[in-house]
Amino acid sequence: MTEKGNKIFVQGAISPELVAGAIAGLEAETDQGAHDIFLGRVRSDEIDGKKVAAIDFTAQEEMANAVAEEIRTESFEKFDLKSIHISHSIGKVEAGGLCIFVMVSSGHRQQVFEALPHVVNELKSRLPIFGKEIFEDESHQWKVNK
Amino acid sequence: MNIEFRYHGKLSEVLGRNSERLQITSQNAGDLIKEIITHRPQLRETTFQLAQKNKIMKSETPIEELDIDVFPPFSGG
Repeated sequence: MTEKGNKIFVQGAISPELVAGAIAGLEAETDQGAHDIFLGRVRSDEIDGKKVAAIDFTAQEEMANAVAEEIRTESFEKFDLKSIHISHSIGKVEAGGLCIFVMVSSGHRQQVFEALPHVVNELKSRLPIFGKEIFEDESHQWKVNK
Repeated sequence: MNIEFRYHGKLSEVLGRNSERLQITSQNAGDLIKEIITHRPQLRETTFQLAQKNKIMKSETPIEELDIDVFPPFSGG
């Protein structure tokens, strides 16, 4: 199962049910003995005395989906993976909400342990997605990835 | 060439618009970045890169499309 052509975007926060559903959806894939999951959550960082209440994500969605597909293809070539799931939020996610969900699956643990950081780092550096951090007083600043 | 530029993230805020058409003479992305700055000096202090056909353009990439994305640094995840 390669999930080719999947679209990555989810409106608003990624629900725990979506994550659970992705795990449950692999029950029939009995050759996949190992899954590794990355979940990114919006933090309520305090910046100059103001707390982040939410992040509003925008993107060049068509390109982001195309680049995610490239990263998926490259990762299947580089690692012995059976499936890769990628979801990312678009629109507003309140602090505490999940905004990215990546799950890689393989026969055994070693490959998923190696592949997951690669996939997540490539997504963070190459997807044309832009986060606007909205403070509790409704002022904002543009997120900068570390 | 008359090109439609699509500004994303912080850039749309800096310029107060999501897109615009500009008449351009550059042949490649490196020259185009300089030409955009002459039209929109507000971008001089910002970091940005260009994409066409859903691919990031390198300096030497020739301009082939009439729609070009202008991106600030990515900040997903």
